[in-house]
Formats: sequence, structure tokens, C-alpha cells
Amino acid sequence: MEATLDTAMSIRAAPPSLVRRRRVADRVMKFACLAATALGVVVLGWILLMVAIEGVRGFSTALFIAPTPGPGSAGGGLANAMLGSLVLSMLGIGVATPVGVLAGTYLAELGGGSRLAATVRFLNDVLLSAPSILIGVFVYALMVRPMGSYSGWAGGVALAIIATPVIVRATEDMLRLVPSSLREAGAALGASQARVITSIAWRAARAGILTGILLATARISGETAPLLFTALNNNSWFDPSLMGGVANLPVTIYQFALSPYENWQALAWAGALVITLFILALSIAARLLLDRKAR
Amino acid sequence: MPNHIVTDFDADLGGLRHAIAEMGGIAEKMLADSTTALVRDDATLAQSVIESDSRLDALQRDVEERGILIIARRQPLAVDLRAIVSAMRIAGDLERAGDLAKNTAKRVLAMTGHTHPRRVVAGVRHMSELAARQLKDVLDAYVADDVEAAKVVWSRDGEIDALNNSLFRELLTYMMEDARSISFCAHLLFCAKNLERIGDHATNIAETVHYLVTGEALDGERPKDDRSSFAIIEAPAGVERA
Amino acid sequence: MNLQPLAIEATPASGTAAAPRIVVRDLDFFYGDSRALKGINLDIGDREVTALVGPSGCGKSTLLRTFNRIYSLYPGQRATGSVRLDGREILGPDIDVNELRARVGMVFQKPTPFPMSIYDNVAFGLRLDRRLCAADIEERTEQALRKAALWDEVKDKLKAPGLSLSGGQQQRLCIARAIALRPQVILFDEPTSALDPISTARIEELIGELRRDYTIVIVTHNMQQAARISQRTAFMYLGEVVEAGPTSRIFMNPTDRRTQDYVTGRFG
Repeated sequence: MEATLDTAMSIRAAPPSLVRRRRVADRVMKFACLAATALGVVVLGWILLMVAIEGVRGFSTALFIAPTPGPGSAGGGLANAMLGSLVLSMLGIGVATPVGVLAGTYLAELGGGSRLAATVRFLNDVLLSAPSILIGVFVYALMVRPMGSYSGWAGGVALAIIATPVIVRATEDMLRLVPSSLREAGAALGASQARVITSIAWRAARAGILTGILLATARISGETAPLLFTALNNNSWFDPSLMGGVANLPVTIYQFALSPYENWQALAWAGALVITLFILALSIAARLLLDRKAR
Repeated sequence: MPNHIVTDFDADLGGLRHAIAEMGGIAEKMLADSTTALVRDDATLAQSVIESDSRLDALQRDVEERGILIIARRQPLAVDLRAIVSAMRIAGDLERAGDLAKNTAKRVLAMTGHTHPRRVVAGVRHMSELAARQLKDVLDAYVADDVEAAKVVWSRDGEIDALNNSLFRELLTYMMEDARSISFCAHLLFCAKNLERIGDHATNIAETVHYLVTGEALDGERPKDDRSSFAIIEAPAGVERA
Repeated sequence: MNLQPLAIEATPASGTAAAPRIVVRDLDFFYGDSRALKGINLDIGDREVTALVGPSGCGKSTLLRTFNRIYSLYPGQRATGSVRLDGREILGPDIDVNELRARVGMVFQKPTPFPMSIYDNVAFGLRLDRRLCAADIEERTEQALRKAALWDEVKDKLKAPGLSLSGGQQQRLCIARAIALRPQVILFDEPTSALDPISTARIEELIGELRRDYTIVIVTHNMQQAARISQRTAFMYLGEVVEAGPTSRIFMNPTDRRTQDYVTGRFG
């Protein structure tokens, strides 16, 4: 017994220099990780803080009711820009959702390993990370030039093209997570494949797909580049036909921030804060949805 | 047959076989010794036979306990289940055989000092040798899983029965001729009966071995030739009825 | 393509042993190029429990899955040979697979309640049949839950999600879901291997009752379970049926040495 105890003790007692080295390496690593995190948090926090402080200054009821002021005129708000952004986003998501969900369903349920499915998946991934300005230029050539003017329709289409790959990806990934045993159980009851997909697979992946749609909405709410070529902007309430420029927040912020007018700059900050809060709300909603599903 | 994947299972079954083998050894010895004690009128030997019985009883309880534990733990099927059930039955038969040898030994103690006609004792010894051979052969068959050997034992039961019949008549004749020999001969009757029943237990074991190996009961009527229950000897003329 | 619904032949006169419900002859099964079942010949008796046992990879689940053609969901899998249900060949291309699956129900190893309420789970299969009105559906749902010994536990919370039930209850829900369609045959693929002993006992009890009305085929790893609940057993090894017969014989005195080795845990 004595002998084994001694050997155990001697194994545990590593040379002190080694122990010290290990402790130092440990601490250095921890410090590096914390420093990097701090850097990221600090920068993010700084941005948010700046947006919040500057933006809040421009907050007022007028912000939400009055349209954008002309150059030089005082006061004004962002009502038309906010409405415009809302309309364009709804348009974009309205087109992107059915296309994206159905395409994602095809990839997950029907395409399988076929060449076509693989190609579609690849193109989707490319589109996912495509520079949004390219998409703007594409829609400009496709719609704005032939139609002869900027329009909300073109803006919506551009946003839809940006949103669709996000939804396709989310739908396919979420549907893949649905265990095949669930599908087999449905089929074993005599349900056709379409029924299995709609009543079971979609239902099971529901939360994830909705999350994908919410995140896609958040993404397109802040897109500026494509709108520059398609919906451009409008200094007052836009035409209900959506022809001609449609006011929207990102482009408005772009214009106002670079201007010499004080009230315009204040409105730009306020607009930035509004977008930030909007995206924050969408992200929280998406997170809550996923959490509830996970429970 | 390949070994069990769980080696402890084989060890358990091996333990059972061991216990049965030990019981068989003790029972055979008790049988031989009780007969020797009878022939030589050896009270000491008879006493040792009586004492060995407790070991046999303990072993039988051990076999039962082991068997039940194996059933609970391993949930045996097919040949394994038959092996356990067979071991428990054989243990019971061997324990009874030991009891019968002990009974004979007790009677030896009761018979000490009495005169005994050589011829009759010789008959008992012969019966004992037959019974001993049955016992040995059937235990060998068990160890070797030998169905044919078991069947041979099974069919030989008639021999012991036949010998028991003739011994019965002889003893009755003796008792009628000489009243002084009645108590001795009465004991001998029981000793002969004990031997005949040991032979039956050996036949039981043979049936169990057959079931163990083939999974089926040994068909047909067991050769039952013991007619001692029907034997009546008419008193010769001139002897008064008591 | 003219899809013929399965015709159920009249049940034979009672008194003599009923004709086998499912007759398998020379069945081969392929996963891509690899042959998983080789020349299977087997009869599944009417209104009794037939157990398929054997070591992992012997093909018992594969065989089970040919009875309701669930393998047809996967392009690389195919079967050749003959499988007849009540005299009707089910491997043919002109069979309405969905109708077949309504007649041959299946319960899987892992309980798979749909992401819907308890009621909707059981009613799911019923709603596929457009001839049933809401009242019929309600009645048959209750019947099925009663038969699955689940009604008393869930009757006050039919709207609760199916996933809120315990494992054993979920499995009984899946059984209720299958029997709501009043199938002729129910296939069980290791139904209790994911459950605790008490839930297992409940389900075994349930199967014992169900067999009075349904023909049951069960795949199980647990030999004692097969011995307990089945009347006939088929032992499979490497894609073949080695031995099939009355359960008592297979487990007490099998003919084939391989069967005995497997059943007594000597396999190797």
C-alpha cells in the first residue's frame, strides 16, 4: 500500500516549472479570449450607444407623422420613409416567402441528391452572399429601364431577390431537421407525399421556417444599395401605384446624413435608431419563436 | 455447443453440474457402504452412512437455490432451461436415494447382533450391486449427455424389480420356517425395498437425461415388473396360522 | 394508371385453421446493389402474433417493411418476389400504396407523435378518408384511444400537444393512431425498445388484446418478449429465415442449431 501511494504522489507532483508554464499559458489564453470579446462588445456597444443617443434627440411624435422636410425647411419627420420601407419590405417578403419556402421544400423533400437539386442549392448559396448592389443593378436593367422610371415594384423585386435565398436556406435546413421517422409514420397511415409534407413536415418545421422569414425581413429592412437603383427615394408621400420613387429609410438616411442641414442630420440619426430598433424587435421575436419550439 | 457470450452463465451452469457430480458420488458411496455395513454387520460404517446424509441434503438445497437464481438472472431458454430443471430434478432423486441408503443403514444398527442366513444377504448384495451399477451408469450418461446410455439404464430397471420379487418370496419363506428370523427378515424386506426404489430413482434420472438432451419425454411404459405388492405365499401344510 | 383498391377475400370458414393472412414467397430485397433478403418464404397467420427475431442486420426490419411497402419511399430500395396479402399481390406496380398502408398499419421503434394535438394525431389518418364526417371521426378516435388503453388518461386533455405525453403514452398514442384506421394487419418494429419496463409491460398487454382482432407481426430484439407475446416465431439470420414455427418450440426445443445458439445467448 505504501509503495503505491508513493508512486501516486510522485506522478501527481509534476515539476514546478511545468506547472507554472501551464498556468501562465492558461491565463494568457483566457486573457486573449476576453480581450477579443471585449473589443467586439465595446465596438458594438459604442455603435448602439451612439445611435441611441443621437437618435433619441430627434425623436418626437412628428417623427412618425410628418413626411420628410424639404431642403432648408425646418421640422419634418420620417413618416413617408417609414411607410415606404414597410411597403417595400412587405412586397419583398411577400414574393420571397412562397418562392423561398417552396424551393426549400423541393430541395429538402423532393430533389434529394439529384443533379438539379445540387445545382439549385449551389446557386442559392451564391445568391445568398451576392453583393446587394449587383442585384440592384440587375433589377435596374430588368425593370427600371424598360418601365422608364423608378418604382416601388422594382424595389420590392430587388428586396425579394435578396430575401429568397435566406428563406430557401432556412426552409431546407429546418425541413432536414424533421426526422424521417415522422414522415414514415405519416406515410404508414396512407398519407400521400404531398399530405405528409404539408401536414407533417411543414408543421414540424414551422417555427424554424418562420424564424427564417423573420430574419430575412430583418435583413432586407436595412438594405440600401439595391434601393438606390430601383426605388430610389421620394421627398414626400409616394404614389399609391408605387410608380416613381418610393421613400424609404435607408436611402433617406444616406441623403440626410451627408447633407449640411441640421434637422436633416438629426432625422438621419433618428432614422438609424428606428431601423435598429425594428431589426432588434424582429430578432427578438425570432429568438422567442425558436425558444418556444425548443421547449 | 459454443460457449455463452456471457461467461458467467457458463460458470453458473458448470457449478450446477459440479454439485450434481458431488451428490452422485456421495449417493453412490452411501449405497455401497450401507450394503457393506449390512453384509459385515458393521455398526460404525452404518453410522458414517447416516451422517453423510446431511451433506447430501445440503447439496440438494444448494442445487435448488442455484437453479432458481440462474432462472431469475439469466432467463434461460431451450437447452439451458432444460439443463436447470433437469439438475433440480436429479438432485431430488439423488437426495431420495441417499435417504433410502440411510434408512438401510439405520436398520443395520437395529439388526446388529442377529443371526442372518447367508443366502438371503447374498441376494441383497446382488441387488445392491445392480442398483449401484444403474446409478453409476446413469450419472455417467448425465455427465456425457449420452441419451443411448440413459435408455439402457431405463430399460434395465426390470432386473432389479425381478430380483426384488424373488427376494421377497424367499424372505417370506424364511419367516414362515423360522419365527426367530422374522424381525431380521422384516428389516431385510425393507432394505430390499429401499434398493428397488433406488433403482427407480436411477430410472427417473435416466428419463430426465433423455428430456434434457432431446427435449422430449421418454416414451412408453417404464418396465415395471415389481410384483411384490401382489405376492402371496401359501403356508405349507402343517404350519399353524398365528 | 388504374389503381386497383385491395379486395379483401372472405374470411375462411372457422373451425379449421384460417388461411395465412400474408404469404411471402421467394422474396429478395435490395438496398441498391446489396441483397438484404434472400429467398424468404414465410406465412403470417390470421389473428395471431408472429415474432421476427434474429441478430442485428439479419433483415427482420427489412422484411417487416415490405409488408406495407414503406420502403417505396426510398428510391434505391426494391423488392422482388411475391408478397400476398389476403391473396392479393402487394409488390406489384398497380397497387395503390396509400390504400395498402391504410390496411396495414405500422408502429415504429421511437414513438413519433405528430406535432399536433392528441386528438388530431389520432384523427390524422381518419381525415385522409374523405368519406368520414366529423362525427364519425370523433367516434372512431375515441374508440381507438379506448382500445389503446389511453382514453382515460387523455380524455380531459385531447387538445394538448401529442408531444406533452410521456414516452409510454406517446407509443400508445401511435398505436391508437394506427388502429383508428381499423387495419387488417399491424406491424410493430421494436415497439418497446425505447421504453421503460412498466410501459413495456402495458404495451405487451395491449398487443395481447389486439391480437384478438388484428393480425400482428412484431420485430423484437428481446427474446423473452417474443416468447411471451407471440404464437409463432421466425428466426432470421443473414437475410434468411432459418427456422419458423410455434413459439414454444422455437424457444424450448428448436430444430436448427443456429436458432438454439441465438436463443440461448451462445451466438458467435
